[in-house]
Amino acid sequence: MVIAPYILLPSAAFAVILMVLFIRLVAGSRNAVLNAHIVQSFMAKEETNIPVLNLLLSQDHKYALVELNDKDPIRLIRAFGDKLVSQTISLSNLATKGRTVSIARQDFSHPAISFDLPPEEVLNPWAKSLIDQNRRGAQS
Amino acid sequence: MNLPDPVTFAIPAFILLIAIEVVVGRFSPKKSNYEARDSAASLSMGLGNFSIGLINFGLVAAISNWVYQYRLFEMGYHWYAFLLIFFLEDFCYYIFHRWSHEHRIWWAAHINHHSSQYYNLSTALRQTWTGGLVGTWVPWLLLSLIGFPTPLIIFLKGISLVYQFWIHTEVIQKMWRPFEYIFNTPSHHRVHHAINPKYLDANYAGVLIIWDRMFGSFVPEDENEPCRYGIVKQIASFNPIVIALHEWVGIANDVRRAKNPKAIFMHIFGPPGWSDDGSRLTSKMIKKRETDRLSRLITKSETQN
Repeated sequence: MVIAPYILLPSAAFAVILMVLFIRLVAGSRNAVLNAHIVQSFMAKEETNIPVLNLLLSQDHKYALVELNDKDPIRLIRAFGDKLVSQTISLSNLATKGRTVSIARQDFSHPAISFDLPPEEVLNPWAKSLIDQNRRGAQS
Repeated sequence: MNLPDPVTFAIPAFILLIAIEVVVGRFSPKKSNYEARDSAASLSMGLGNFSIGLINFGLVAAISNWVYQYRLFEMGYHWYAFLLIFFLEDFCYYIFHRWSHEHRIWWAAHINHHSSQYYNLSTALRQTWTGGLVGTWVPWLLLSLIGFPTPLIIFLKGISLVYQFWIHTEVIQKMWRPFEYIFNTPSHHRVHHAINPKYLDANYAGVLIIWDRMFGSFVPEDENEPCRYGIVKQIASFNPIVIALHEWVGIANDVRRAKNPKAIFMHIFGPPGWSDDGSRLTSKMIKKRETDRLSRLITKSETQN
């Protein structure tokens, strides 16, 4: 049984679209909502035995910044579907403006993001220190 | 001899089984987890692989036919040829698969198949776009050299691909013990897709798990250690182009920054995770780090007792 590619490929593409629509319809929306407990449990599996010192959640609960007791201490956690993705970042990757934190694209598979910290988190000592260090970095 | 293409015949079954697994996941989320964007990426990768395969096919078949001219034996389409090639094709798959995990140039072509944090039937279709370009078909030339005709090799490759579809599932737990001993099963293949240190670089089998048992790469699934899927440095993109090419971009960046020819060589042909400054870890290093950590924990608990 041979089907000509000019029939086979568009048909397969159409079948893929239908399949994805079916999956979306049946499985529903899958978006992780981060909280301190979820991030702590995730970090316990990702970075076994490295204690979490500080944690900042974004206002929309899609992102978190984590400080670990490690030589590269800062991790960005992002919700990815209903899974999480962790990235090691440095201060040079991070920019702050008011409550907005921007993180530059790290490589081809980790795009740039920008998120707001909730107003109360700005008073968090680690958030203050990040903002201060960032400001000093920008001035120097 | 005209042999059918098993993959073409299996496509309706692929679609039906995915649909069933999606519905199972709706009622039993622990058994199956589907995310529409993740599945869209996997299915697009499958479509891309199929399209690129149409172009690659002619070239690979021509090379296979060329090697076949120098064949050592006349295997033809005798019954014993079918029996023998079933084992030998699967052995070639084992070699291809193991090298794909041990050498970064082939890992760059294979990583996309492991890039999903979800493990379901749609993950099986998350196939390579670049494997053909870097010669991942080379191990199968051994079959042409032995004397198996190209259509027979293609037929068996199709059978292997169809077999490997259904093992990408969490719906099936352990199977009948003798079957688990001989064949690759969902349980064995979950281990292969897992990033838990104890599961890294294990269970490369296609159809028969016996190769892993023979060559020491078999690791059984441990009920006390649930599999975490994906790759050591998880990607944050559902874009098929990013999924297909991100490791190639990584290699290009590493080669650009390399300080000496040895580093260039190792970034291309060395194990994934190799770095000259130790800033990244290979699977062996991750496994050793975990073993050391567990040893320290045991020593600590013994001291306390």
